[in-house]
Amino acid sequence: MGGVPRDHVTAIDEDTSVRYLKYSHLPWVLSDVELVVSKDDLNPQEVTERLGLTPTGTRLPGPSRWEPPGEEAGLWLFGCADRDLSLAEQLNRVLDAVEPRVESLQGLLSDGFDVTLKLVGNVGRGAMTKLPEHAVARVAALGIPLDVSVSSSAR
Amino acid sequence: MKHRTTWQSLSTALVISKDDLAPERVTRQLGVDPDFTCESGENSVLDSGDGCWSLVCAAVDITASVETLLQRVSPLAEKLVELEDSGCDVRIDISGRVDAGSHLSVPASVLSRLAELGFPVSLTAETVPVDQYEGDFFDWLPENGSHRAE
Repeated sequence: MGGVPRDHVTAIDEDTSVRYLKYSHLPWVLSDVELVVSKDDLNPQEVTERLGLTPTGTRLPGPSRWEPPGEEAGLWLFGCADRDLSLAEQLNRVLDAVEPRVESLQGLLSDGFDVTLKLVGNVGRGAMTKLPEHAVARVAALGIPLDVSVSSSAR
Repeated sequence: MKHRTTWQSLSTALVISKDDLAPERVTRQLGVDPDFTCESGENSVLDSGDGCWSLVCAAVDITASVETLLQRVSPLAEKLVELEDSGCDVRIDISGRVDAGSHLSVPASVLSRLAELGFPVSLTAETVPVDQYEGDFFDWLPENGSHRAE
């Protein structure tokens, strides 16, 4: 990455200095961590075989009443939603299973699959989750994007 | 996920905190002026009462926001490790306001840059109050109500 063009830098809004500090003591709740593989013509069995991993969920391509319109890609999911674990611990569980398969993940990316690591949590009015530096390094080594998807229903 | 919006007023910050942190000492140690500080104790903005020293950057997207901060933080890396060794909590925070259906995608290249720096990364999300939300919370559901069928 090179320098950031000046017009890409924006002003800090007046709430920002409070926002990034005032929720430090409130953790995300009801969190999940999930490896998500998707493709318009995804065959779940093919992904299972290529990764050598049993999915925790799959969805065949096509319309679904549980998904927004236009989201018809097939899905292959491997996640940890153990509510006795913190998000960082859930992330470790998923990374333990996925890391040995990084070459297969890159193969899926090369073949046009979308592959992301998804963090899900409920933040109520506001909350923070912290990923230890070793977890950041492990996620970065996978070479896939991190998708952060929070909900905001009342605690 | 193509139609979903990302987090609003996205910012990235270096946050240094400790129960007895004296901001002016951190400023001297790092040789850089902070964007925000607070003393420890009753007037701290942190619920823990910790003192805090921080740099904060905002940009049009997550890549530019992280890169703008790292340009300022990377030269300080060794001194930040010294602060960490002396008991300070040092982290990079990515924060924004979220509304229904919004999500944040952090590209692999940005994750690599954060991993190179070697500090924890926190994700802080604040909910957009209902009275300020301009969209429809259910606007992702089919207009014809077909999701209710069966």
